Amino acid sequence: MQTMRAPAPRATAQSRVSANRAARRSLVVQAAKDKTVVIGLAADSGCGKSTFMRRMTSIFGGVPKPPAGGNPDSNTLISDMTTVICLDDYHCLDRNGRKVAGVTALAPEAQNFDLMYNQVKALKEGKPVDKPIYNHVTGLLDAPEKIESPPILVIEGLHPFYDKRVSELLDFKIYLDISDDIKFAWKIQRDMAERGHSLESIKASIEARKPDFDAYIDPQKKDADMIIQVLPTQLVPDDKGQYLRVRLIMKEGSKMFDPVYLFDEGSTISWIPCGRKLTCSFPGIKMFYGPDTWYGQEVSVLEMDGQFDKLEELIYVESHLSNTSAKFYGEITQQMLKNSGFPGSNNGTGLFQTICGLKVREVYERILKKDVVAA
Amino acid sequence: MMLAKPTLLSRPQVRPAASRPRAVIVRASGQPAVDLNKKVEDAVKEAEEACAKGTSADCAVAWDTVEELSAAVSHKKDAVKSDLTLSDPLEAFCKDAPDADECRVYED
Repeated sequence: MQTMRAPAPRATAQSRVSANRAARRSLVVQAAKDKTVVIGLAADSGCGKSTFMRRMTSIFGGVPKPPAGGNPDSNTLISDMTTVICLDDYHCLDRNGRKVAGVTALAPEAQNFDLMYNQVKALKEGKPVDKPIYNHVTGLLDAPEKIESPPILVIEGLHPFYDKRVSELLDFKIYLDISDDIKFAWKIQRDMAERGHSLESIKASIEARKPDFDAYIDPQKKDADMIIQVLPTQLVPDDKGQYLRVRLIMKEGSKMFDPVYLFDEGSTISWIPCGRKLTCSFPGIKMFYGPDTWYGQEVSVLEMDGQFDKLEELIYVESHLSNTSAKFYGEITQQMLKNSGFPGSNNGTGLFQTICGLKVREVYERILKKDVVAA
Repeated sequence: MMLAKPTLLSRPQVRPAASRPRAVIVRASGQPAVDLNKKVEDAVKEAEEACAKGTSADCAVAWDTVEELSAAVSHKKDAVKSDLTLSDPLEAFCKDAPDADECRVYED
């Protein structure tokens, strides 16, 4: 759909000069305040990275699109504020190369960390790069595409924090930790419906990739600033992964963000919002909040078990959360409503992904403000 | 008199549909999905064979390929679902003909 546009005024010599001058002026202003904030998201394939990305970019407005006119199989998504890069583009071995070498895409030998470091560093410093494209359909490395330095750069994939140099470039690190049971249930939903996959083949696929996953991907979660952990529910017996217990694990003491809390910061609270003020359908919702340790580090944990059917329930929960980084009352609910078609919109995954997105915005704003004050 | 007036009014002021030739754009979206599904099936077969007689490394690599292809298929499907111009026939039509009667939207 398109709105009618007024015809463009004819450019006179006068207006062209002033337009030129205006362009130059705005360029200077941009160069002075432009600073790229780099966010890292780590997760295994099929764990909802792309849903998370869509939720996060939606907070900054605009629809992310692949680079116009480029490779149709490009993995990059660009919107006004954010550019999302898939780290599979830094594979140094293509599909056949990995087969010959006998390594999976999870292995560090299949990644070019030097190139990853150099290009992420260049983008952070405001320079454009020519990034290779890993084509997921053909399994080949295609010709590179030009990526301009964005206000917010998101790198998502299997190894965003594996290499220490890359990890140090990141301003905020998020890890999606999906338990084996849930991963299995999600892959059944994804793969079994219409393809030649049997239960056994899904099981075999997870088993075969597990040693590499445990060795190279899983350990990255101890460095993350925020972890979204998805576990089977404890409310009802459920072997289909229909109901989820989702935990948002937040590092304490970061200068970049403050953890969310429920009712009272630092206490341990278990809360069932259903009762006289709120009717919930089976199996209801259970919230938990409390301090904990994560690989020897201080963290706050916010947990939601169960699912909600109506919007009232979410606004009721949201009104009891503090430090959510929302700009107005009901922003989380409004964001969730905007993307109500995405998977996870009726349980803790969608809620905590949205909160993570608001935290990313806060990190961006804090870094920018600090920069302005320093200058 | 009273009858003639409404018919005149109901006519659009500009009639681009009649006066302008309209290009027909043929897009090849959704085509590779068939090819990809076949590819996934082949990969599954290959992986089962690799696990039956190959080493454990071969087995892992083969299943990794299956995983990569399955993810590519589901991402393609999501992209089609989230892009209204591909999933909604009216939106698809309005993309090519924004000034048709059923597509015009004025902001105020």
